Amino acid sequence: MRDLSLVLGTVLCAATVGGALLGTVWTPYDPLQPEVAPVNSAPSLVHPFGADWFGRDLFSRVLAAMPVGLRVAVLGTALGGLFGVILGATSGFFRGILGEALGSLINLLLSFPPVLLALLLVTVLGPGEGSVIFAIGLFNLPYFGRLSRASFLELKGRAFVEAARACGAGPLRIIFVHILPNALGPLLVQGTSSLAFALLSEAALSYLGLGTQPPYPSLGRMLKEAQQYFIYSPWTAIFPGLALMVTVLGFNLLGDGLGARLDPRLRRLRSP
Amino acid sequence: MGSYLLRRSIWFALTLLAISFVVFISLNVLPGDPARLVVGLEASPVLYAKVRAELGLDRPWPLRYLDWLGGVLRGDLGRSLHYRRPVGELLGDALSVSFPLALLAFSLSLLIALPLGALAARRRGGLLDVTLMGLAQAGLAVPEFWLGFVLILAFSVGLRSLPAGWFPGWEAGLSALKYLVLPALALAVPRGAYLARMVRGALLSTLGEAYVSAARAKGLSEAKVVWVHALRPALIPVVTSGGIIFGRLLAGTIVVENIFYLPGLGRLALVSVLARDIPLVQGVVLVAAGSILAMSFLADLSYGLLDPRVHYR
Repeated sequence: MRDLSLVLGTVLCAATVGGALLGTVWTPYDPLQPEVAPVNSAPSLVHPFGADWFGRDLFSRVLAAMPVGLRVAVLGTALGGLFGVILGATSGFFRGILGEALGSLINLLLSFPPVLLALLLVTVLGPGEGSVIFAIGLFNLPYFGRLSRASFLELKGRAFVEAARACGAGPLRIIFVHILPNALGPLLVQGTSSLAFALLSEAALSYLGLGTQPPYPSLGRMLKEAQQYFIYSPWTAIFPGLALMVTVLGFNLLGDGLGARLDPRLRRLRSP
Repeated sequence: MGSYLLRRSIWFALTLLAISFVVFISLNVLPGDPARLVVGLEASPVLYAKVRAELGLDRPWPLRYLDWLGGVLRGDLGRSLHYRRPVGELLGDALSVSFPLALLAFSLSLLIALPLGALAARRRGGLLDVTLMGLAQAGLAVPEFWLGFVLILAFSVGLRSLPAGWFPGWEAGLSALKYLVLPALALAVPRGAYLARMVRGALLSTLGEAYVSAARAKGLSEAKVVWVHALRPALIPVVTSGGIIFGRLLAGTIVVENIFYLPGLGRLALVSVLARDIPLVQGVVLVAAGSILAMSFLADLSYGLLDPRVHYR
């Protein structure tokens, strides 16, 4: 069953990331061009996802929106992962006040409501892609921090670390060359589920009007705009959401499958 | 136990203090002038200055922070610049929607999670387990605002059985509860799916323990072994996550409240931030962070009840 997750996750990720890559270079119609189809027309063979209230081709719009969301989610998760690991590794590796203080900082960040944090940040920095990346990075940071802190606390007492120290390795070398590779498995799993969560957050922020700005399509904003029309033309809301859901599902399954492969005891996922 | 409670309470207060301070500072570097937003662009300089003084914006920000803090300690959260009403009142009104919504959504998630998680654990590796966990994966991936749309299409447009949005207020009596069902369901599906996976995982680990075999050997029925003996300690990780989930639900569900036009804490948060209403933002953040902290505190305290082997140090 676990390998099923890995296979299915890989297939879905390949399909959605492939679709997103395709969306950067080619879409069947111009996603911004109105009246390529009859206004509010239902899905058909020529327009598989139908058309919106301006007669724009929804399939092209979804394809064009996917790389934007994916890019924001990947960069945000990478940012949070990088600084989270640095923070967690430092707080787990060094004893005393520094370690304790950084540990408390991680706990402090965890008790901040994530959407509210993002909302405040985006207002301070102004709406746009950069702010959303930063916000996603910030609320992912403590999860990576907590995880790497725990791994470092556990691993630094192991014999191979003692041996490295006895051979004269400095703290930086011990952290990066000896401990980090051993802590990478759980971090990788956390990374994929964080990425899935980041995709949902990006869409939520765009839905609130704080993310990617018009005229560029984004899945979250497509749903926001569809809010007035979806009762009459449900496809304007159904397909952008479905595309998002399949992408998130792919990354969650991949994370699950990887987790089972790397450590059968590990079952870690983000709380919604 | 006593010193544990004391330490946790001090940590609680310090965290809230730190959060309110960070929020205050970040709002002060915000572009946008609250006084200008209140009087408008055309107002005379005299009126502008008067409003600025009235709002206390002419004083340096450290003093304003201390004023605010003093007020909070006396139970006064200040006045909202945008609504021109006491922040405490606004928060109370919002909570009268957000609290029942959070409670309903959380109960529904548990109602999904406990039976499905336990069933999957008992049929480990079987077809039912694979199906249930596949469904849980799908539930976990659903964007809750999109689920809101789908629920409106199904129950409000299709079946015409439940309202699609808006809230009449509790003056309407219990029938107002109808307006919370769809939003609560949209919130409950991803959270229930998450908790179901957790229940299954935790049960699988306790089902292998010696005392469970002992209970079986005693001749207890399988249902009693699972629901009474194995489930109780297995609930610890579930309660931890449940505490965080419930706290965050209480802190306001900005997106779902927006879809269903509910006047809860999430909407208040969005309005206050967009209007640069500093006292209101501070109040919202205090309630939101406070409920998250309080819930995880309560979750920690419940460990001792669930598993007699737990000791607080």
